[in-house]
Amino acid sequence: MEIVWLGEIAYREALELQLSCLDRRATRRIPDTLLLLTHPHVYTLGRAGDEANLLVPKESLAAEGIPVERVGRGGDITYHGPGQLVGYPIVLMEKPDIHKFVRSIEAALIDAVRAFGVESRRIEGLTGVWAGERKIASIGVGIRKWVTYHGFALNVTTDLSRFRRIHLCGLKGREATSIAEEAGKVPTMEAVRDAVAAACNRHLEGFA
Amino acid sequence: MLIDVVMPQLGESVVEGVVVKWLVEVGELIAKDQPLLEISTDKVDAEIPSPSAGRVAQILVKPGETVPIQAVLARIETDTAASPPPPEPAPKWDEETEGFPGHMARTSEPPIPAPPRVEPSVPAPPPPPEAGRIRITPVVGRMAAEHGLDLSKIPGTGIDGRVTRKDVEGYLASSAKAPEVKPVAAKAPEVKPVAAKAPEVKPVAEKAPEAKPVAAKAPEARADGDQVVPWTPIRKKIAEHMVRSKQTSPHVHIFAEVDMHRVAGVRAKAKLEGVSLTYLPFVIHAAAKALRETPIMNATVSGESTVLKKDIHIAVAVDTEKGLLVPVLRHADRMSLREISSAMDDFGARAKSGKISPDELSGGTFSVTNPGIKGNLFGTPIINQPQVGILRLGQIVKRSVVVEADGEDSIVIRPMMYLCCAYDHRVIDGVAGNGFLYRVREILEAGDFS
Repeated sequence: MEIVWLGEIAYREALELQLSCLDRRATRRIPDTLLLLTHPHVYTLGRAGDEANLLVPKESLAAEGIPVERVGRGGDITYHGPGQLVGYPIVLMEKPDIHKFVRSIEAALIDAVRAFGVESRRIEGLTGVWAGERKIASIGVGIRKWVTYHGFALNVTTDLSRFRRIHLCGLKGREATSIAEEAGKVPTMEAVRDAVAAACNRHLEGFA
Repeated sequence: MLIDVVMPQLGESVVEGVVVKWLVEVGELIAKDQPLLEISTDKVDAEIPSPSAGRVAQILVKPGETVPIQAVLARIETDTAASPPPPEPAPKWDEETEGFPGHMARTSEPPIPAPPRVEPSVPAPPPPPEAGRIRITPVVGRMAAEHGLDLSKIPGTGIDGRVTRKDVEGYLASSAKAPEVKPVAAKAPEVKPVAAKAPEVKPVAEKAPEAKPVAAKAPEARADGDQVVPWTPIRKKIAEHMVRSKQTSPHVHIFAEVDMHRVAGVRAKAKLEGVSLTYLPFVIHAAAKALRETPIMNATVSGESTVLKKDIHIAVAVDTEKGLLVPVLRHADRMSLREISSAMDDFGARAKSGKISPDELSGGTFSVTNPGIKGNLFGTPIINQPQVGILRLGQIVKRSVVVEADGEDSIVIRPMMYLCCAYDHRVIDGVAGNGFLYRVREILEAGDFS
């Protein structure tokens, strides 16, 4: 799997990049690719997303220059911003097994955060990765031309108060957490990025 | 040639998906691999590409409908010569898509029994036996089965005159005759496939052939207008669990007639304080108390052993808009009446928004089922494996009963209820089973719920 580090990149820009990678992956001009990056502040609503899960008026976010984007992935509402590692796996599914794919992303992230002293787990029925009862990583995947796009967002040093403005993933009463919060010490984005890249390399094999 | 676009198999554990929206219209000319529609499952949204170039002949599923894998979603007429001139289907990546999974394509089959056919050009995995004949959604099939409806009698307003969920709901609302034939115990396993798999019952299952066919095999004669409703995966699980429970546990059903007037009194008092209580929390409360005193009823079977469970976790069947759920009240014996009541309200509310986690649906050690006001006088529930007992509420009816006061008999009007308890006679003897139900009745009649 090809791994590309993009640094900070705006949501829309990253989406266009994903789609162009997706087209090239569909025609087999590139191998499976994992885009790793961070986003400036943005709230995104999946197709199943309900704006009612946004707890502050869109206008007040707009006043702060924070966009709310509706996007073609599964899942409800989430937040992206500084301190959060975002990964977009562009993987060709020869024989689609989308649940296995989502479970594999979870497994990769559980492995990756363990290296920073954080024990996390899946909760059946609630896609994502959970440290105890708090969500450390969100997952929402889209498939087009049998290639995956969108992906996961792992909180490294994310400002968690940003999540309190939404019902996280449409789940009332669910809270977000981060590696820094759980581990009690602050890892560098680069270290987490490398751990996630290695774990994805191990777990996201064999779909093509 | 007319080609079916079927709901693809999106993974081993994926049995159905929701149609999010259509990206094409009937009559539209389309290219091979052009996205036709979006479906959603779990947290994944997928676009389904067209298996072939042609013209969209039919769209058979509406957005919002849940469809099982292999159900026909749309039909595509590949012979566009017979129709208006074809466009130049030249999507930029069309030439290079030879390797694309072509498992979506399947040629049209005649509606009712058809012999398995060899795929024309596409090496698709063999479709499940009933595949492709599903012309109604699983929801409608389930509703029809539950209510014993003849779908041919219901005017359909869906695409191609198909009967939709709304049609069925309208029909049910308009004809009050709809009998509640819902099997009570069916409630339990519906959301508890876990229980069906629980290793605890394995040794027993090994002795009794596990995979005893649940479905009738012999083809029966069909009259015109008969409807064939293939089982949904959930229906199949229920069927398997029911048969297995009946084969595994010799059920004994015993009944108690309970005078609920003290319970009614407590309800009335609570109402004055602005708290609305149903009868169900009282029965759960009484059952939890009686279970604490009769450990053998709060047990599971594991091989040739009985496991007396330390904790009392009562699974309670709840009827919701989204079907039946069986949330588990953990440590029900430690909960007050009001706590039970508000936990049930909370389950009900969250069930509506689909936000009950699977964790909350497993681990029950005993079941209570309440078929509600249309539950009839009494019924004989089926045990939710691997548990050994289940309690069912009957309808509460005012009746004249004889009571003795100060040595004198008199006739009074009392709200009476039949309670049925089913227990597993492999494990529980009559003394214990009867003692348990008798105790539940005593607690309810005493009306002390502190």
